[in-house]
Amino acid sequence: MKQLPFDRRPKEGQPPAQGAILEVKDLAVEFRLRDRTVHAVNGVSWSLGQSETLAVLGESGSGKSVMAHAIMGTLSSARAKVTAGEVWFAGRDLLKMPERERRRVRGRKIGIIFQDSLSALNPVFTVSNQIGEMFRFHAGMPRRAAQQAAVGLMERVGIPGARRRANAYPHEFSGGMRQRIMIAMALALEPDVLIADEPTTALDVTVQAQIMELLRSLQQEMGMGLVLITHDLGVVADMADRIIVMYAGRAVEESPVRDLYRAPAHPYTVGLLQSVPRLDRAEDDLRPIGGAPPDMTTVAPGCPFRPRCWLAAEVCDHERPPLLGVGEGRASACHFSHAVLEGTAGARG
Amino acid sequence: MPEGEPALEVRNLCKEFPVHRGGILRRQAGALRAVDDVSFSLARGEALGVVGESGCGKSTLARLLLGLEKPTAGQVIFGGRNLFELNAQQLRAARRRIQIVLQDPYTSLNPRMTIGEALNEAFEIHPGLCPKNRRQARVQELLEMVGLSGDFARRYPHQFSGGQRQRVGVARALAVGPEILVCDEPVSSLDVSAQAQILSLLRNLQRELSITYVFIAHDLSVVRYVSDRIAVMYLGRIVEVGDKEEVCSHPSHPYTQALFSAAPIPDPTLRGVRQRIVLQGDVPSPIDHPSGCRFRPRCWKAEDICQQVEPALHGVTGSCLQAACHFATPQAPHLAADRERA
Repeated sequence: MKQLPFDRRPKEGQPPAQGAILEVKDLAVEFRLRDRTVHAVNGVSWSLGQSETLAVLGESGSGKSVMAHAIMGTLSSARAKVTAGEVWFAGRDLLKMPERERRRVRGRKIGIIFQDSLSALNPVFTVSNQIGEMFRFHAGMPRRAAQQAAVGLMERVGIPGARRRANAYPHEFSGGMRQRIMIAMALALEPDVLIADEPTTALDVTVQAQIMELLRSLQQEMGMGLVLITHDLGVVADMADRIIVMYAGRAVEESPVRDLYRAPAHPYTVGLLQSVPRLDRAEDDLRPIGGAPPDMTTVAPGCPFRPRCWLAAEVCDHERPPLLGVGEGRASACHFSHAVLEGTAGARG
Repeated sequence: MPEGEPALEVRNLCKEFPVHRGGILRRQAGALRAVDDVSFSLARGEALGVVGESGCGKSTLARLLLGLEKPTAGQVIFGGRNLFELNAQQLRAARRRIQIVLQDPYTSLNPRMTIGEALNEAFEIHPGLCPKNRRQARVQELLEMVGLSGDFARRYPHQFSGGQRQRVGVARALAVGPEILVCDEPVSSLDVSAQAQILSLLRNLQRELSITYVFIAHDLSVVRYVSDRIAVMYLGRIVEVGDKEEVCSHPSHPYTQALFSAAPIPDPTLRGVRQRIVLQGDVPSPIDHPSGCRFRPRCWKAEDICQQVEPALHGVTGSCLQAACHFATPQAPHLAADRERA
């Protein structure tokens, strides 16, 4: 297969390629602790198309949630710092925007939902008050009208008895219902982009299915772009159009979803797919990835996956493989990505 | 069912927790039935997977099996005797033979004890297990058995990753040479790659040591991987039980079918092809469950009889499964079917 150039990053300081509504370029985030620096995100680039679902898949510590916060401008710790990169939305770089303007984008144009709805909601305000706040703050709606709009939204996200329960507090709802309230808040102002950070991880399977179904139908209705951050290969297979696999703060593979599951192009992705027990197949042996993710306080030269990789060669020790094209819409950051993709790289030991 | 004396037998096990209302004058206002008339038996070396959503009573069942909780009724028969009729000394001896692996090994390990000390503690409690001069070597052996290097014995729990800590949790349980291992959500707090490591470890250990497993988890695919038989729990009851391949290929209880259809499968070609049963509502409160069948309010098959008569676990026609449903019919779960949603 021919090597395709995959550098579709426009030149620095230029607005994004046509068709993308959100574009992240070379984003890097660090946490400066007293005695060391954690390199949480190390130069990640991707773009999201209109009404597209992009999955960001990674294990804990891969930097996927930190990236979401960096995009939203909600990195909570004073020690966290975006050290490089651009986030382009509607012709402007969000990272260069003054906070006052950014606040108008956040929530109104780009919504976000988190895994833990109980800590994301304020326990001392009623849910309709919190949903209505979106209308009051961003759209300048009077209190009574905002309350009405909130009840309407609660109905739309499928909360039974919305009118009756509008004045209840977050703790009076179940986990699934709270996640619906989060979705109602995030979608109140019909944003162009919704970032969903592990939206169903804390929920039971049957409730997870309900929430995914809801997200899917709302997305179709409103035509928004969805960035779905998750560790669950099953959820990705069910929901996403495209996928970015993250490892140690970097994107190691990018692909249309179907292609990735059929033929992964990065050894880490191969390992992940062979690590998930399957419900649809009888008796499949798991082939776990040995070892553990690297220490993020040091940036060693070479490939970050090298110590766990069955293909590791000398070149992997001192040369970090860039994310390069390996086919239509596909890219992989591995020196042997073509061999992995074509299945000629040799069996996993 | 395999012949011979069962390794573990559970008979009509029930556990109720009193529910109190009111401030100063606390009155008992009702009872939460966490485990309700659960029975099963396990052959030596067999692995039973218990699957269910939060609140179904699976963790209470684990605590009952270890004798950490006294049941309201019922028996756990182990080595020919009811666990709940043993005196303190006999109970201690029994606990050596039945061990548990918990979800979060971090909170179950003492942060001020090295891993070696923690493992050695087992030999101090059961001194007959290993002579003093052999203990250090035995600790090394245990660590190697779970895939850790022997010199990890000198480290403290915080120096381990989640997956490694869970390996320590398994080593600690194995230290006393148990016959039965109860695993309560042993991988649900782990990442995909660590989860796979622990699952293969558990399965290999089962083959090598022929331990009997009770494997409790909410994740169907995980349960399928390690078990021989699967029991599905809903609101304190077993609603379906049987051979794992049969449960996975032709579940017969509507709840099992819904559970399967809701579980995400890592195969994008199944999108839109799979049958999808989206249940309405959440699992109801276990305090006042509905009359008749407790799954009825969420069930698309419900009829009058389901409101009046609670279905007992019985053999399903045309299947080797047992299900507690008036309308149990085995059905392959992964195909699209023209079924109406509830």
